[in-house]
Amino acid sequence: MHGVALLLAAAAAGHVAARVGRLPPIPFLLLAGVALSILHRPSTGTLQEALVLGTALLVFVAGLELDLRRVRARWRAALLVGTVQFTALGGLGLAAASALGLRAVEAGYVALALAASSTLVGVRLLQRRQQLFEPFGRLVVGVLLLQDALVLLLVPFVSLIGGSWADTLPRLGAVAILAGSSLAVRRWLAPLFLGAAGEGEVQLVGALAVLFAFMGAAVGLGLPLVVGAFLAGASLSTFPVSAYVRAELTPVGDFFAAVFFVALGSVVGVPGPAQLLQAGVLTLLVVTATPLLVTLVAERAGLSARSSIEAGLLLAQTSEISLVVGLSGLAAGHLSGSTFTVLALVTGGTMLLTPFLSDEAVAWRLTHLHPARWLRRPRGGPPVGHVLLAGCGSTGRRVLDVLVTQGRPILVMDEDPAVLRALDAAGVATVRGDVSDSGALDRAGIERADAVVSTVHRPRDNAALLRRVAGRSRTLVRVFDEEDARWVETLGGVAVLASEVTAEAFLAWYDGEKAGLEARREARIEGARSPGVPGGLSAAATPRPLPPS
Amino acid sequence: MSDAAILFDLGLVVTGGALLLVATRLLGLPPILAYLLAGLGLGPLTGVLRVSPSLELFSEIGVSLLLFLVGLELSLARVREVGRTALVAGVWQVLVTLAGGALLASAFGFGPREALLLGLVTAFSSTVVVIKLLDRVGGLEETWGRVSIGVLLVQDVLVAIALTLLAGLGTGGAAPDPVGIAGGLARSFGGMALLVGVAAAAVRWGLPVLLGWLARTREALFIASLTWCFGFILAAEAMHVSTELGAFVAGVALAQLPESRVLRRYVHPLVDFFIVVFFVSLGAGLDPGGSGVDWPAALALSLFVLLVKPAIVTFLLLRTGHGGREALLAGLTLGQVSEFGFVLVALAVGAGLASPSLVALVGIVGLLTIGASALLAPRGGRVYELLSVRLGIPFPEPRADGTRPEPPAGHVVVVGMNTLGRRVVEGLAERGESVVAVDTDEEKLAGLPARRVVGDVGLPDVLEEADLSGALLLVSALRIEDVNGLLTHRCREEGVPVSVHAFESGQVEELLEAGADHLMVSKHEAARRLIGELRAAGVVG
Repeated sequence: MHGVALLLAAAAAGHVAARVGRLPPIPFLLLAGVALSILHRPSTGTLQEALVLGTALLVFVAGLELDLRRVRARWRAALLVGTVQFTALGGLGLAAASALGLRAVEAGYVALALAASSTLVGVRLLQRRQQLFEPFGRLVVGVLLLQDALVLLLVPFVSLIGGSWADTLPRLGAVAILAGSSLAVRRWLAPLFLGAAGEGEVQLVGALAVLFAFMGAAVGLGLPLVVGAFLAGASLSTFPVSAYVRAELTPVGDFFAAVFFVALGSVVGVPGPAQLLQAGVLTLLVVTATPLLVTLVAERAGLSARSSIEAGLLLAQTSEISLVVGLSGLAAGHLSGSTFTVLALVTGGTMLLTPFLSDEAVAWRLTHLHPARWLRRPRGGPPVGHVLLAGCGSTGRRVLDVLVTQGRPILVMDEDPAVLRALDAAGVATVRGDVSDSGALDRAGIERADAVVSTVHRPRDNAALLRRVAGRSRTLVRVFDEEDARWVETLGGVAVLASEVTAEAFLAWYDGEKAGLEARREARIEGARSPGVPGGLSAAATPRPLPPS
Repeated sequence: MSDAAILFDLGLVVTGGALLLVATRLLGLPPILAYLLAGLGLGPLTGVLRVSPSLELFSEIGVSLLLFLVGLELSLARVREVGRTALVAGVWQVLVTLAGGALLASAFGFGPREALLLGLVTAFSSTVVVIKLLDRVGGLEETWGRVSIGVLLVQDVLVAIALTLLAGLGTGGAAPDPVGIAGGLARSFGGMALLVGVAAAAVRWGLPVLLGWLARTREALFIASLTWCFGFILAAEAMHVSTELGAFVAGVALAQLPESRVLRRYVHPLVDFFIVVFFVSLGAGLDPGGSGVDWPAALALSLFVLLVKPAIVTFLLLRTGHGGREALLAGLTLGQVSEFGFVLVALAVGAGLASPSLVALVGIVGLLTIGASALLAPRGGRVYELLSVRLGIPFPEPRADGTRPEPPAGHVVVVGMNTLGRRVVEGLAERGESVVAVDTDEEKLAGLPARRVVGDVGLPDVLEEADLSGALLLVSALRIEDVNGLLTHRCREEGVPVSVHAFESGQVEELLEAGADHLMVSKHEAARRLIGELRAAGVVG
């Protein structure tokens, strides 16, 4: 009990510290663990159990997240970016590790650890900035999911480096068997969970049973536990099963995760100068190589320059899965304690840097450094008396469609090369550029436009635009919240508050539908009342019975 | 990971539990039975699982967290409400059951010491089982349920006294030590008082600010609250007070703060997990086999616990003014022996105060009574009917009118208090509709003309609190794809109409397929308005 309490207390301290700086908690949990190891180290048994259980649940949850619907249209780009980043960073990691004097197998583990970016950190930041569903957000999520899968499924093969390769085929076979079982569970067993909707306990026990069964199978097949845990999670990752399971599992997962990271810190202990140096080198590698690589490939894959840079910066860290991989190597005796400490340092350090690196201001500055290779002049000379459409996503497109039927001169400004290609093909005049870039605004002839309609993702980007056209032409800006609406109006534009118009549309629908809704409710309540059973407490599987009528 | 033993043990526990859970669900039996049977199967029957110290720790944590959760559900007002009744009922029940059980045991030929021991075993009820049963029948919200919990807590205190007395009575033939006993009792009560004092002080100064600041980050709040709970557990241990009571005090302290609502829902699944381990370990640790078990005695004692004990509790509750039905329900939930009884007997046998065959005897009584009460208690309503209608036993009506407030009917549930959500709430309220607004962030719910529910709709009971089943419509203004999908799914299951915010065109088809009745497609609406504005400006014809 004491051990658990200590770990929890350290975890609480770590969380509080992270909260103060609004930074990712994992580095602070690691630090708390290190501090704990100095002050009052918990027993080895407790630490080991915390690490084992924490690993199992962490990886299980990672598997649960494997829902491709979150990636949607960006899956191809994610596949490309993810594979390139994984391979390149893995290779660079291997090279760096060898240069630092590590053995082949150890270097392999280091390579694998560097190749993964942190799902926990990345998704949390995207959520906080409300960018999870923007194109680059979806790309990042896709990359993260891909990397988790690649890293974990490659763990069984790392130990073969520098050793006998004869085991490769049997291991591949084992992984294939387990993966096949995962698919089978996903198809036939997972839907059964829906039958227990509302009975959290049943879903919790069921999900955990799946986890332990897969881990047992993994051990039986001679594979590391983490492979089993991951495939178990993947088997339950279909919608809506994953949502129900996650609801039950999150508290348990959070508890063991907190304890896990603290225990890890305790195991790692205080680093020495050699380890700090090695960690520094690898951190630099991750933080510089990742944004470069990702930016290059993401642009190739069709993202705008800015989105690519943002994605690259957001992916510039190593993952909690890296720690799991390191632990796996440590336990198997392939990785030395010193190298593991280095990995922990790199992970903690890069995670701490990410919020700063991926800050909008940094992305902005880097975008300006980016060579604007695809400058495009509009056809037929500089435009006059046109309607300028800044941003041509689904909203802009609808406006464009109406404008086109009117025969008005139109100019569309967008960053997305795919969008521009489609518009060119349709014969619409385009200008490639970002709405906050005054050069692009020049080329778009902003001062001579009759009207400007901006539907860009981030309303505040319209600052430069608004300042240049203030009052001169009719400038319509689509915004999402009231503060932005007020800001636009202050600068002389006309704000179209998406939420306001949507709410109005809803209320109009509601007024018309109300009678129908009431009728449906009556019917539903009548149907639920079972005739003839006077007010007894129901013994059926419902957790909360209806009060006696 | 060199020490995978815990994984193996937990794996057996969880898998065994899950398999039997499926079986018992098909038969309509309660989960508790599933876990007990799983434990029996894994332990005594096949010998595959041995209850290791780690599993014991998990069980201990489970019981303490359970009491923490119970504390979280109570407010001080409610504690005071049932305090006196519980105290009176608890003390009387223990004394009467103790006497009755001891008499019955001696009638079967057990010596005075053993009879007393068996009497003690029958007197106490299982905190874990009772609370699980109450949770299942929705009794945690009722007054009679809280009385049951009060009785359990009183029993806890009495257990502490009993243990102190036993320790003071010494082993075998040593002389009793009155000073030692008095000292032990003083320490226990002093410890309790200190814990309560610290809790009260913290709630007054510091805790509200700290938790309020942490509330934004759910994980941080959760871990901090658990740390608080464990702090009290350790303190209780140090002061020789039961850890359950310590956890309970920690929970009641937090229940005074608004963050407890969110916490409760979050702690629940964690407790569920540890409690599964508890029950399976309990089953695995039983030893019902063993030759020389006095079956008639076992059956008689079980019947006593199953029938007479609830009768005693029911009678006492009737005397304190509760209605017949409520009193009976409370009695039925308390009709089993406590796992503490096994501990007690094991201690006694170890100290040479009782013969080893008692262990198996108590094991059987435990199994029978826990299983039977788990079956009976949820059917309490029917038992009441049986007794009052068919057998014509006159049960008095309740003195005070304990009606529950009627849940809101014909209301609209709006989830997600972003700008869109707030506008929808305000618009509906203007039309005179009754609205329930849901959000994870309490601040976002401020100043709205609606009943407020703070919570994450991803968690199961939040929608229950918003009374989804009685709603006219659910509106989700959230800009979170998977939660919107989940809500659509839930509403379709319940048959409630749902209007969802489709903030990206790609979601439209999916949501309609999933059964959404109406979509708020913000991008289309924005485009419509932009075109409208262009028309108004004469830019477009």
